[in-house]
Amino acid sequence: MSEHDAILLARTSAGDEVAFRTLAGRHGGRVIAIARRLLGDAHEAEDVAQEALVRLWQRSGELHVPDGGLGAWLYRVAANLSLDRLRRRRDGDPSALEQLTVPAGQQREMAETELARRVNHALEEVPERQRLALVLFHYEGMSMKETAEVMETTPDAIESLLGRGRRQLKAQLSDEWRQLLPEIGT
Amino acid sequence: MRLAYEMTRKIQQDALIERFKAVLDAYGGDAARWPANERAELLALLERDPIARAMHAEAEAVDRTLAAAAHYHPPVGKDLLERVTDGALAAIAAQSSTAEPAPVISLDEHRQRRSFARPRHNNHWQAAGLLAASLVLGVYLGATGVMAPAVDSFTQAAGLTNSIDTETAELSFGAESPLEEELL
Repeated sequence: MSEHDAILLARTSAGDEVAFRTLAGRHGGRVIAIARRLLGDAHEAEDVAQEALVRLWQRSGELHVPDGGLGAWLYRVAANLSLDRLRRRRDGDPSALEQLTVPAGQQREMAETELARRVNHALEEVPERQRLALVLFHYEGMSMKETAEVMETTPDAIESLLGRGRRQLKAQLSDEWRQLLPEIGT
Repeated sequence: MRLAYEMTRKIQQDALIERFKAVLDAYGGDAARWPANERAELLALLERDPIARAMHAEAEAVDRTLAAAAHYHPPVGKDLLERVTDGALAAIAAQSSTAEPAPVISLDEHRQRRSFARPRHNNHWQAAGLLAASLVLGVYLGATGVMAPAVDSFTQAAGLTNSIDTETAELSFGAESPLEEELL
C-alpha cells in the first residue's frame, strides 16, 4: 500500500524532497496531460505543470488532503493556470490562438492523423468550462464525481457542461462522425 | 380509462427518450459511464426502441470521432515528469534565494543550485512564543536577584550607581507583589 498523499504532503511541508517527488510522480502525469489538452501546446503545458508543482510545495503546510487524495486540487490548479494562459493569449494576439492550435513542430513530433487534428481543433473552439469538463471526463476518464470535485461544482452542472460541449462538437464534426456510422453497423 | 393509461404511458416514454438523449449527449454511448441509478432503465429502452438505438449509434460514432484525438498528445513519460519536477524544485530554490515569488524556470535550465528552502509556514506564533518566554525569563531573573551580582559588577566597571535601578526593582517586585506570586 503506497503512502497516502496526506503523509507525503506533511513530509513535503517539512522540506522532504523525496516525498515531494513521490507526489509529483503520482499526479504529475495527469497534470501535464490536462494542461496539454487545454493549451494544445506541449511546452507550455510543461511550464504549467511545473508551476502547479511549485504551488504544491509552497502550500504544502496549509493544504487539507481529502480522502480521495491530492489529485483534485492539483488538477484544478493546472486547469486554472492553463485557462489563465489561454485568456492571456486571446487578450494579446488574436492570431496566436490559431497559430498555437496546431504548431508545426508538434505535428511532426506527434504524427497525428488529419482526423485527430480536426477533432483537437474543434475541441479548442469549445468554451473553456465545457472543454475542461470534456477533457477531464472523456479524455482523462474521470468519474462525474471526480470531475465535479476538480471543477468545484455539482455533478448536475458537469452533466450540463458535458452535454453542451458534446453537442457543439457533434455539430462541428458532423462530417467526421457521420462517416463512421456505417462502420458501426447502422 | 384505457386512453388515459395510453396517454400517460406515451408521456412517460417521451420523457424517457428525452432523458436518454440527454445522457448520450453528456456521457456518450458507453453505458458503463451512464449514471448507475438510471442505467438499467436506459438499457431496457435501448433494447426495445429503434429510435433510441439510432440515437445510441450516433453517440457511439461521436465517441469514436472524439477518441481520434485521444492520442493527439504523446503519453507523459517518466523522463518528462522528472524534468518537470526538477524544474519545479529549481524554481523553488531560486525563490528561496531571492525571496521573490517563484518564477517558472525554463525547463532547459533547471539544473541550478539545489539548496532547497523549506516550504513557507506561518511563523507568527513561534515569534510570539519566543517573546513571551523572554519576558517571563527576564521577570524571573529580576525578581529572584540571580543576576544582581553581575549587574553590580557591570555598573561598577562602568562607573555608574545602581541605586535607582535597585529602588525601581524593589517597587516593582517586592515580596508583596501579586505578580511575583503569580510567577512563582
